[in-house]
Amino acid sequence: MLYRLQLLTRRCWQSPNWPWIAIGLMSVLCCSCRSLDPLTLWPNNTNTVKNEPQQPSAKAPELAAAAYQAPADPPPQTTPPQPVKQLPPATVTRGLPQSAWSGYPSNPTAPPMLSPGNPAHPWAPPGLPRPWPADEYVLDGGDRARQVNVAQDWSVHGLDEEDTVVHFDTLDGDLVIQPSNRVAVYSPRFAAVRRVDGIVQNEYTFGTLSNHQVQELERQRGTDIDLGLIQQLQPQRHLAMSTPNGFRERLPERTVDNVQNAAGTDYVFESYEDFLIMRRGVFDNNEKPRLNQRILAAKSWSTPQGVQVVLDGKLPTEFTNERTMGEQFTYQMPLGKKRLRVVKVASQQQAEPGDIIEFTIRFDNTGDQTIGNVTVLDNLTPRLEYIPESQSCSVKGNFMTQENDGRSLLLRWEITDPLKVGEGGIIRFKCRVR
Amino acid sequence: MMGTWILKGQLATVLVILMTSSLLAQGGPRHFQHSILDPPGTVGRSQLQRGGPLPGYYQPVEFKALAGMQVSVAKDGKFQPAAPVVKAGLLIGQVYRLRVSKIPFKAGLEVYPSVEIINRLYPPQGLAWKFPIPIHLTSRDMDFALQGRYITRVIYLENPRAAVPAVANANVQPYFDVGTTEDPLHIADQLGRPMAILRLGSRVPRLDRTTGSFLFNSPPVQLPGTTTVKQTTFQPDPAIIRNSRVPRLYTFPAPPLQR
Repeated sequence: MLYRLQLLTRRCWQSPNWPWIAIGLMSVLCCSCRSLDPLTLWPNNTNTVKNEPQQPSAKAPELAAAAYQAPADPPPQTTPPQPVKQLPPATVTRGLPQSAWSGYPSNPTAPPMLSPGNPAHPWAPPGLPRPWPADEYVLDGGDRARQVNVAQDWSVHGLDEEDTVVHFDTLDGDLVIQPSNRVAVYSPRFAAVRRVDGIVQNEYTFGTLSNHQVQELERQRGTDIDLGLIQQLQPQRHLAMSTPNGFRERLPERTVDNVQNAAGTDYVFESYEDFLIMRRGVFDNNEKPRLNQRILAAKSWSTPQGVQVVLDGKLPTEFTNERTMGEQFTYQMPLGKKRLRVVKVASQQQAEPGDIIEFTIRFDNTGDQTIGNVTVLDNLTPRLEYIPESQSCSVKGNFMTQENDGRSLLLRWEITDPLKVGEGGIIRFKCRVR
Repeated sequence: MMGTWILKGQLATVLVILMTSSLLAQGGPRHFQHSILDPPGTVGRSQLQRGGPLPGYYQPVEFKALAGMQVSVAKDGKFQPAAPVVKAGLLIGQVYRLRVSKIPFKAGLEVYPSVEIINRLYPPQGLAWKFPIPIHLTSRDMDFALQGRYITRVIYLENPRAAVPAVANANVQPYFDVGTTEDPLHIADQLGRPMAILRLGSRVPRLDRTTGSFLFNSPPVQLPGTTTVKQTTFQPDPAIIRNSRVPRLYTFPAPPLQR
């Protein structure tokens, strides 16, 4: 068998038409092969392909004030979280253990089965970034797909839908681009495709060929002349009117309420954005669990492994890989580094079509030099519709909008004044979920 | 001679790359191996074989009968009380029978569609019933069914990055028609993720040995608020064994319109 294969290969190679033979073989192989879909990539499957966790880019350190570990989002309910029961190792059927799936259990009396290791998130195929699946969420923020580039004339390239970036100029003449974190809102939307099949055996079409009939005026009805007239009777007598000689004033009891409605609010923080990092730009470690509920962790947070922080190719001076809650890490940065921290949160985690969501973007100069020409860009996804005149900015700047390719809007804030070290601002705007 | 062979080899390589470049993007769960003409339940059962947390999951579905109609779901061999809006948890891979009544201008007539759930959602904890799969039953579809036509609706989850930039209306589910030569399942696959298949016709149940198969042997249904689900043996209910008091207005084939 092997000899015959070698003989066939030698004959094909020696044939003058061997390129065309190679083309035919490659076409047959490629047409018959089908790549695996993500749903079939299980750890126990022999065809498993694991995605390596991506390291955060040195240009965009997320929340650089602290090194975040793997996300352990607390459950949204107010009751204390129940300990995850250790399920016995089940037999693997078709590469998926029984304890892997979650959702509404088939036995309602059984406790809900969640993905082991992450009691708050429902099950998702291992190795895929969260949230999963992405088509059930409305995402906004970050820099997906193409990397955003800003030219020297401040023209922006590579700004995809859902991107939210901030670019600024430094005293050194550099132009730095800083993307925000991604925010996910659960909002699935459905449509339908219809097909009508009908059997038609007999189809008759009735139609007149033409019919044009002119009806001439045969007679004209005469104009009726009024033969009678109704004469109004004139008043025969006039009765005098008696005017009141006096009157009694009766004033009902009334109460006066001095109702003063609030004309507006100034720098009032809603509950979803009431964090110290939003108020003063200072990170409080005690607010980390609550903050994690409002933002979607970066890609490095979505894996069960620890976060590796790399700043300009240098490891921080203090770093640990322990997965423990409630720890804050600090590191020393060399002088002359420009930093801008951008945090984005949403007022809701789930929304139905028609609901209004309010986004809040907080940016702070966490570097050690003044930065200028700070420009905030938010390219809305087609599922989000900006509500006119709903934006506000805590610092002086210009706001403008531009229609994007997805028939939504690109929001742009140009901060007028430079940001000194430690200064920042808050931007708010509202969107309707389509 | 050698240069000619090298040139041929380079040309062959370029041609192979050009011809197979579009095939490199294969992947993702697709229903291309299925057709809408397959028997009900084929697509759903094939989805179960793909693996994942599909077996045993009751996907919440919301049936909304418009224009004053009412819909009911068959459970345990009989139809539940009819209502304009019905929520139910349906198993993936199973086929369920519905009954639509009070059709406008069609007093006494009823239509018995079937629905097949072929995929599920993954909502956050505790929000499954807040985000069900909406299935709208329009009076126009009922008219087509009573005229002897066969309607197929594939409800799919829109891709948010390619969604229609229009505000959604809770009472109007956007849809579009395709020709008889196109497969709505394949088109829905390209536009998003197919979730359910709704089939309507003018078939009515009869009292015979096929009554159980007409209800697809009554798969278990989970209603909101219930805590236990029991799968009982099929017992035909007299409610589905009856003759309509008012004969159908249309006969098959549909007579020509008289003006």
